[in-house]
Amino acid sequence: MTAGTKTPGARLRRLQPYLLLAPFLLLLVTGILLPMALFVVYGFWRKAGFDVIEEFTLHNFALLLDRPVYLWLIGKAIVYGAIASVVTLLLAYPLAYITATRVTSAKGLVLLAVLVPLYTSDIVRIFAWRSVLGGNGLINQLLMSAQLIEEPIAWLLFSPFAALVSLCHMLFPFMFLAVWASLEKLNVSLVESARDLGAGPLTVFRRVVLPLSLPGVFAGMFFVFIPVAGDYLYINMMGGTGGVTITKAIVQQFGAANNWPFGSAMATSTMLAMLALLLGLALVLSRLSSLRAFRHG
Amino acid sequence: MQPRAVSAWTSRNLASALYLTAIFAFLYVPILVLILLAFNDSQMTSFPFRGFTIQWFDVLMQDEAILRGLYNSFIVALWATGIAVVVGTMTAYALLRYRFRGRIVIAVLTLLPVIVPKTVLGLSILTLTSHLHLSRSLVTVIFGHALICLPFVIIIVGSVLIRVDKGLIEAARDLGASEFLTFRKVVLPLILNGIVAGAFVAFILSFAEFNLSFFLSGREQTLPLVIFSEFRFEITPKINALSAAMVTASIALTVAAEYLRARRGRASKAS
Repeated sequence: MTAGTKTPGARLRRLQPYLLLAPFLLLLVTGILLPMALFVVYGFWRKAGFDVIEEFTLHNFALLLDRPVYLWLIGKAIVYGAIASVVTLLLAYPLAYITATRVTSAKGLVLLAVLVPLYTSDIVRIFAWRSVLGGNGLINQLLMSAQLIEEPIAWLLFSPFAALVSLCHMLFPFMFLAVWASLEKLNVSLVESARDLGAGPLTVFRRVVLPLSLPGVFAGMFFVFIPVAGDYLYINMMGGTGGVTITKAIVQQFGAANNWPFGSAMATSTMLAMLALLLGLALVLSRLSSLRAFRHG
Repeated sequence: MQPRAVSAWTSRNLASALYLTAIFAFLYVPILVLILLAFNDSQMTSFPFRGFTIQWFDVLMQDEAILRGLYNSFIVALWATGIAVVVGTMTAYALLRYRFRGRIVIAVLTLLPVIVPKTVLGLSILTLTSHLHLSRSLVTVIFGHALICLPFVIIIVGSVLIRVDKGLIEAARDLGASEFLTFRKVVLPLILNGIVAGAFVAFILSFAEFNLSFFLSGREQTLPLVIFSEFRFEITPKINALSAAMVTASIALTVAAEYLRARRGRASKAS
């Protein structure tokens, strides 16, 4: 496999992977890297009348700091992302654990069963949850026919609650896959030896299983946090009229408000805030776990 | 001691049975309710179930806007799938078959389309096209869809490619087959099911995609956009019928894709 560099054939062979990757890199550069770079640059330009003045300025960012409502909206997006990632984690972890440790022959079937909802269209999922959560949806009708409530619970649909429920439904498979993949590598004999040494189930979980699955947990939370914090569709169609989010505010700048530089500055600030938060969290957690590892030898 | 242990065991099993029921109810009840209501003989999209009908599918088939959206979605999904499958297979092959400088960086970069929030991705491409005075159309939508389907194709094809016996490739090369001939005659037949599975998944994802299409489409709109713009605030049985058809098709394709992918695994392991 290790090709020399002398012959032309070998040189061609060394070029082969790059040739194969060329279309991918072209798509990546024209579809993500270049657009995002320009998008960020737009935030440092400014809107004057109908024109965008292409000169460096921090005007938009100053404006942003001047209006606490936007900072509050960024905070709200972070809170939504955090709630959804914790909820999906709590929902998916046990299933991932059971699948990794107990299920043997039917593993493919379980994975498939969890993955099917992932491939359901967002729009379809929204209508599905509407018929479950709506005023005369499944839940309200069941509760009413059981005479537990007299009239439909209104906040089930068109509320942040409804948006978060359907978002968790969409992102459950991502969390499951991330945690499951990390638990699948878990050595069963480690758990058994911990148990043989007299550790109770809780101790085994806290000291052995959980620390080993932490990378999967972080990955899963990341995969849930980003789409929830950046969601536009679900909050629009499930969140009701009060559901203003930072994404809505950003999209508005590209639509009715027609101030692209300001919208871009908002998006860039939001992404930076979230990146900083995630990096900070990862740093703190890795510090903590290495500290604990040190203490327990 | 013994009875207590037994009761602890059964209560633990009961708890996990309850939990499993709740989780799969959470995942599947909304989808089942949706499908059930598509056949409900009532103008209201709610229970109680008033009788079985397929009239909503007829009504659906007469809606011009929806049919137009369906057609556009098919065109977009076919092109996006084609691009994603060809580019994705090449990428997976390069990443798994060769050792080269920057390999890890590129492997990480393949995940970028999934990691960047779709709203940001959509707005970024929108900014670039408008900056270059390019008009938006189904072509921009296809471009965006191909991009976000790529990581899935790369992972699925890669998961099959990684199980291909390296000895077979070496043998073909030793016997004088060119790199391309080796790929076409040895590797391709072995990973074909993986490629088809990747194509199914790409097609489903493109067909279902809303967020990117929202920012990238011009006058011609894909199906999810039509539903969004026309039925955002109302629920009609027609939409239930449409959703039921879409969800059934995507479940069928998903199951078929997974079957193909798994079967290839067993076949190459046996050989």
